[in-house]
Amino acid sequence: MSAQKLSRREALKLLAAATGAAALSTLPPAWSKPDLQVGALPAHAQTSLLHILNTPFLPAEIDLGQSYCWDGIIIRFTAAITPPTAGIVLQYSLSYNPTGAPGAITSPNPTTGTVATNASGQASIDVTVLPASPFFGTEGTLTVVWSFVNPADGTNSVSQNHDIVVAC
Amino acid sequence: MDPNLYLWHEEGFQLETLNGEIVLLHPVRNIIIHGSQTASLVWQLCDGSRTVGAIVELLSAAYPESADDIQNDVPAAIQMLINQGALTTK
Repeated sequence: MSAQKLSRREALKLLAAATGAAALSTLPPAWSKPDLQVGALPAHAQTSLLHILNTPFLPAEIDLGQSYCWDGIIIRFTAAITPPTAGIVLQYSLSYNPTGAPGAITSPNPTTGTVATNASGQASIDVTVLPASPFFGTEGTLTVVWSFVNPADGTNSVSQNHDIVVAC
Repeated sequence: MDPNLYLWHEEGFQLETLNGEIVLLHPVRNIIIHGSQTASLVWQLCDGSRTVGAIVELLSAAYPESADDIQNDVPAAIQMLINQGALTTK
């Protein structure tokens, strides 16, 4: 149905329905040029943009030419934030839980630290685990927990596990 | 302005109404838009279901004595809301 064929009352009823007006009397009684004033919010009403932290990539083994099992294994963990933003500082916390022969994280040292996101909103750390004994290797689960350093950047945290086996 | 354009509210704006007037807030973009009663009508009709032409026709039928003004006022108000990022078109 064309609006041109509507009576005024029908059009006002449609307007009231479309705008949620409780009664026709709440609609403007006459047309006036729409007045729009644009301004800036006062500082106390502004909010910063919060990011969401996630782990879109599986941990990946990095080959740096380790020749022997006692050279250990290097695993790259990557976190990402949405929307992608550079320079957001993330904190990581690493742990290694051996389920077989023992081993330990040797890099990064200490196992907690911070890293900033790149232009793609991603931050990575390379984690080296060495077996305690060159004869037995090591087997276990690496865990990294990512979180925001500044709560104004975001508030969630994520963790990621990766099972490793270094056989000798 | 193309009268066949459909218009949608851009996400992120918070709507407050008072005595028929409208206040649109976008805290992240630090924008506040205050609109009169008729500006409020235009905003609320831009819900994705109507073209610019349909909005002009509906308002012209509701306020026939101002039909000529509405032909110019409505596209101008819509263009301003688009310029402020409050409306998007398809």
